[in-house]
Amino acid sequence: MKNVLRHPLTIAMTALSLPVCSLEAISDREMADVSGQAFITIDASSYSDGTGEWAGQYEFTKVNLGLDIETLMTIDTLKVGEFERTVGEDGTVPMTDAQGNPVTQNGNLVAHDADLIIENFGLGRVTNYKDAVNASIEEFKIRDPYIELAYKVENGVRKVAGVRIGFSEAQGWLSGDFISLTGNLNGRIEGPASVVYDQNCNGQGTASWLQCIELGLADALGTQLVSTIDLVDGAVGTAGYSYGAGRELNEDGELQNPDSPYLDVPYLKRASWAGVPGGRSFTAPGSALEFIIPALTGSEDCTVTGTPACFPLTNFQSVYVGDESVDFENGGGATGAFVSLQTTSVPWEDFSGIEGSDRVLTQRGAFLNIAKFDSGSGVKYPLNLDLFSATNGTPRQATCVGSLKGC
Amino acid sequence: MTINKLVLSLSTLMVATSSMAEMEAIDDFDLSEISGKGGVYLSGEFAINKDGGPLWDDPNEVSGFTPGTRPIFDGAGNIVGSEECENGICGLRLAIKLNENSEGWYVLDDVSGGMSFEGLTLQTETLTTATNYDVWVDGGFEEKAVDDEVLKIGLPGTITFNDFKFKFAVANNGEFGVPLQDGTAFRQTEIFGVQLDGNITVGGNLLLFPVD
Amino acid sequence: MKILRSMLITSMVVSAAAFADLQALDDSQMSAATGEGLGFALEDFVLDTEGAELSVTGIQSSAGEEIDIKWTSLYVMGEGSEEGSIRTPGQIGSYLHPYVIRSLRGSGGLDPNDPLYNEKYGQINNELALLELAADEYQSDVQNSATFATFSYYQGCVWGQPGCDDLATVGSNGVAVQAITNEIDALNSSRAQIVDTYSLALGALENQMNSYYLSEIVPREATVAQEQTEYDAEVVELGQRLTTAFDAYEAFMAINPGADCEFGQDCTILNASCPVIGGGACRDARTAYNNSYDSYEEQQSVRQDAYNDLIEARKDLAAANNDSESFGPAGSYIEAVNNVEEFKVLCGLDSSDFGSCDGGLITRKGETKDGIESVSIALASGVERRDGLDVGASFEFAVNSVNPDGSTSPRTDYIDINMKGLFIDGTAFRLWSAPDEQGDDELNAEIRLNLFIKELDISVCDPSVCDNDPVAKEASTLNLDNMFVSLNLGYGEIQPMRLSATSDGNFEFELTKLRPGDDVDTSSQEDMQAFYDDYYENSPKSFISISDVRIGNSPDASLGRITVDGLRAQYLKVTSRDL
Repeated sequence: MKNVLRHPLTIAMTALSLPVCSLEAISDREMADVSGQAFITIDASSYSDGTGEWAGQYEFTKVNLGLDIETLMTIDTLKVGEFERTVGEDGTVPMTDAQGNPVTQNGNLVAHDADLIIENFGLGRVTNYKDAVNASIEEFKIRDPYIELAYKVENGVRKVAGVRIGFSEAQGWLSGDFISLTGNLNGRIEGPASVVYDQNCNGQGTASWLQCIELGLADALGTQLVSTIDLVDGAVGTAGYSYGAGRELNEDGELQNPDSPYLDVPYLKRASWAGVPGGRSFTAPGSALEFIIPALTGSEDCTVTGTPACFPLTNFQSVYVGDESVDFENGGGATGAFVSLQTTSVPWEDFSGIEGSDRVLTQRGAFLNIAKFDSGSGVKYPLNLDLFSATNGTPRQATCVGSLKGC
Repeated sequence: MTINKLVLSLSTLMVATSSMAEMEAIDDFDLSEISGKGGVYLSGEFAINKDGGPLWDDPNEVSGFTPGTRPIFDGAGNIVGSEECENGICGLRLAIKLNENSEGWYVLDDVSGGMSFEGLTLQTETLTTATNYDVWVDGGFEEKAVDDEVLKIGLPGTITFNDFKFKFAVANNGEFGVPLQDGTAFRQTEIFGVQLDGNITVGGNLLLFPVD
Repeated sequence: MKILRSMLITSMVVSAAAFADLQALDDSQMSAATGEGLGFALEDFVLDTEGAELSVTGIQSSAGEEIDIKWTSLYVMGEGSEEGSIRTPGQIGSYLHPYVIRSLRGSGGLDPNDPLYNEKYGQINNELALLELAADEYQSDVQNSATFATFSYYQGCVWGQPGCDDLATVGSNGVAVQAITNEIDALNSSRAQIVDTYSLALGALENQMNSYYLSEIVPREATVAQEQTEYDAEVVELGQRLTTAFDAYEAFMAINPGADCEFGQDCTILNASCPVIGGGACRDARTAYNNSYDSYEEQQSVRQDAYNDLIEARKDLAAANNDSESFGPAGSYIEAVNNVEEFKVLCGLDSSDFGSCDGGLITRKGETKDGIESVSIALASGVERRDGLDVGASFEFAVNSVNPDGSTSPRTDYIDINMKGLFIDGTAFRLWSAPDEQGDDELNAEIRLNLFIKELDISVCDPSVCDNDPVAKEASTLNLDNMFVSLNLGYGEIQPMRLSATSDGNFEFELTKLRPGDDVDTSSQEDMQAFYDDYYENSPKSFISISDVRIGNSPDASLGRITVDGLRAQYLKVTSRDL
C-alpha cells in the first residue's frame, strides 16, 4: 500500500477511509468467470409455410428475459381488445345471461365489448385466508417470460402484425371472473359412468332404458369417461348454440357437427361459456365398452345424456396452471401460455411441447392461450374437472387475507 | 506516469445536507440524532487503472501479470490468470454494494474513453419572474413575480465523445478478480454495454436552487 | 338443482361487473414542512445524438452469438419536434415546479396534526431519514398528469388533438364526467341491491353467517377433505394393484408364452394350460396373475365406492352452501358471503353497517370524479395544458433469422420509437436504509411512477424504404394513444422494495411480503386483520391504460382500448438467471 498516496486523485479522497484488502481466503478450486451470458437474449425467426389467411412471409423477433418470478398479484379489471365485433363474424359469439339466454339490443344479438374481460384477476393464492395470524401466500411462479413481435412482409414493406407476452413456464393458481374470453382454454373432464347414470337413470333425467342398461354396465366395470372441453357458444336458441370452433370428427373421419356455423373458425371470440362442444363425445379409453360410450355420450345442445355439458365461464373461478403433483423445478409448470394482440392473422410459434403441434393460428384481436401442454410427462390440461365440479364450478381461491377477492 | 489504483470505500454516506441553502432550524431536526440510525448505506469501490494490474507495485515487476489485462487472483493474493482488456486499455471500474449482507455488487465496468466539451457557462442569476403553471390568467400561464437567486449552468451545446464506453454488470466481489473470503471464485456477469463516439448536441440551461 | 347452482354463482358476477377502478394518484398536497432539498430544472433543453455513433454491446441470441445493435438515434426535446426533426426546446421542471432531490425524515409515528407530518411519507418511520428524488408537481388538475390522464381515459381521446377539441364535449356535464357518473351510478345501484336484500343490520348478518359457517360448513368441509384423502389413497392403491397384476401377467407369459389369454382375461386350464409335469412354476404364476388381477378388479369397486362417497360429501357441502332455507337471512349462505364481500369492496373493508359508505370503491370513484369534473370545467373555460417532451430512440439490429427448415439467414431489424407529449410529473423515488430481519442494514425503496404519453409510435420499417414513403411508414407502425402508466411499487416500511444482487452475478428485485410494524400484535386476529385491511384500503394500486392500439392504417386497424385497472402485488420477487 506504500505508493497509494502518490497520485493526486488519492489526495483528494483521503478524507474517506480505505479498507484493507483482505485476501486471506481459503484456496479456491473454481476458475473465476467473467461472462457476457446474461439475462436478455434476442432471437429472430421467420415463417412462410402457412396456408389460407396465414400464408405469406412472417418474421419474428423474440426478446427472452431470464427471470424467475414469484408473485401474489391481483388486478381489479383486465380488459384487452375493446373494439367493435359483430356477432357471427369470425366466430364471435353472442353475449348471454347466466342461464344462456342471449342478450339483445334493438332486436340484434350483441357480443361482449372486449375480447378479454377478466375481473378480480389473481395469480397465486392465500392459504388460511380467514385466519389473519396464520394466513400465508402460495406464490404463482413464472420462468423466463418473453416478448415477441411479429411482422408481416408485404411488397417489401415490413409491418407490425402482432405482439405477444408469454411465459416459458408457469405454475400456480390463476383466478378470476372470466366474463369474456377469446382464445384457447383447454380442459379435461373425467368422471365415472355412475355420475352420468345417477343423473339420468333411477327415475330422473332423459336417458333411455337401453342407455341406462349400458350405463349401468359401464358403471359396474368402473369405466372412467373422459372428454375435453373448450370454449363454446352458450347462447340458447341461436344458430351456433352448443358448438365450439372447428370440426368434430369421429374415428371414421365423419363430421359430427355439420350444422355448426363455426366449422372453419380457428377459435371463438368473446366466449363466455365452456363445455363439451356439440358433436364431441366422451370416450372411455381402455374399457370394454369403449365403442358404446361415444354413441351414448355425444354432446348435443349442450347436454350429454341429460347431463349439462356447457357451463358459464364464471363458474370456474380458479384454474390451476401446470401440474399440481410436480414441483416447479421438476417441470411442473405449464408451457406455452401467452396473451397476444394481432391486427391481422399471425401464426405464432407453439411452445406448448405437444408433439406434432406446429403453430398457434391467431386472427385479428386479442388472444389468451391457456392450452394443453406437455412438459415431458405426457399431455396435461390446465383445467381438470370431474363431472361434479364441471356442473358446480370450481371455487375461487382466496387472493386476500380476510376475503376471497376484492381487496 | 502510471496511474495507481485507487481504492476507497464509502461508509455510511450522510445525505442530509445541502451546503447551498441556509439551514433553517426545523424543530427536532438534529443531524446527530440521525447518524447511526439511518442514512443510505453504500459500500463502494472505485478503480482507475489504464494498464490494469495491482496498484501498489510497478506492474512490470509483478509476477504473472501482463499490462493491458486485468489480473485474476487466488485466495492467497497470487495472480493466477488474467482477463484481456479491450484494445489493451483497461477502464475504470465502479462497484456498489447496496446492502450490508448482500453478496452481490452492481458494477459499472470498463469505463474508458474521452469526453470533452466547450462552452459550459456557470453564473448566478436573479430571477424576477417565474411561470406558475397552476394558474391560468388571460389566456396564458401566470407569470409570478419572484426575487430569487439561482445557479444557472449553460449546457455547452456540443459534447464530444471519443470512444467512450462502459458496461453494466453484476459481480460477486467489488474488486475485479479477487475471490470471496470463503473461497468462492470471482464471477461477473455483464448485462449490456454502451459505446459512444462523436458529437452529441446538448442545449439548454440547468438551474439549481435550494428548495425546502 | 344444477341450474340454480350455476345461477347464483353468476348472479353476483353481474353486479360485480362494475369493479373498474381507475384511481388517480392524489398526492398533490404540498408538504407543510420537509427537509432540505436541492431543486433543479432544465430550461430550453435539447438532446440529440445525431452525428454521434452509439452502439449497445453484450446482448446475445440464444445460440450465443452477439447481436450487433446500433443505437442510431436518441433525442429529448420539447413537444412538437416532429419526431426530433425540429429542435424544439423542452422544459424539464421549472423554477416553481422543480425536480427535487431532498432528504427528510419519514412521518410514520407522527400525529397527523403535527406540522411536520406529510402523508406521503406516512409509512416510513420518523426515525429514518430518506432520500427522495422527485419530478415536478402541479396543483392544478389540468397540469397534474395523473388527473389529466384519468380524465382522458374517460373522455376517450387526448384533449387538444384534432378530433378532440370540441368545447361541447367538456364542461361540468362533459363526456368524461358523464362516463364516470354512469360508473358510480352502477356501483350505487349494486350497493342498493345488496342492502335491499337483507332486513337485518350488517353486524347481525355477519354473526349469523359466522355461526352458520361454523355449524354447517366447517364440518362438511372436513368430511370432504377426509373423503378426498381416502379416495386419493384408493386411487394410488388401484394403480399399484394394476402394476402388480401386469407384472404378474408378464411373468406368467415369460414362463408360458403359448398361453392364449390377454391381460384382463382369466387365464385358465382351457386357454393357458401348463404342463402336467414340471408345470408347478407355470401354475403358480398363472394363479398369481389371476389373483392379482382379481384383486385389481376388487379395488376398482372399492375406488368406485370411495368416489361415490366423495361425491356425496361434495354434494352435501354444495347443498349447505346453496340452501336458502336452512340459512336464516334472505338467500343462501354463499350468496350472503358474496354480497357482504361486494358491499365491503364498494363501501370500505371496515364497513360496520349497511347505512354508511365511507371508504371503498364508491368513495374513491367519487374522488376520481371530482378530479375529472375539475379538469373538464377548466378545459371548457379555456385552460390549456403545458407542453410535454418528445423523446425518441431508434435501433438497428443485425440478427440471424432462423428459418422453418433450420437454416439461418442474416436480417436487419429496425425499431424506431417516438414518444410524443411525454410527462412524468408526480413521479418520486424514495430510498432509505433500515435494518432487515437479520439486523443488517438494507436499502429499501418506494417508487411512484406516473408516466403519461399522448402518443407512442413504434415503427419497424427500414428507413431507406420508409423515409420517403409516408404511407408505407404508417402501415408499419404500432401506435399507442393516450397511454397512462401509474406504477406504485412499495408501501413504506410495510412493503418496501428491495434491490440486491446474488453471489453468482444475478440481480434480485423484491416487493416484500407485508411486514406489520411493532405496534401490531401479530398474535391477535383482530389486529392482524385490521393491519391487512388498512393495507388494502390505503396502499396505492397501479394502473395501465392505453386508449387506442392501432397497428398500421387499414380500416380495421384499431384494436381498441387496453385497461389494466387496480394492479397490486402483495408479493413479488424477480430474480434474474442466465439463459
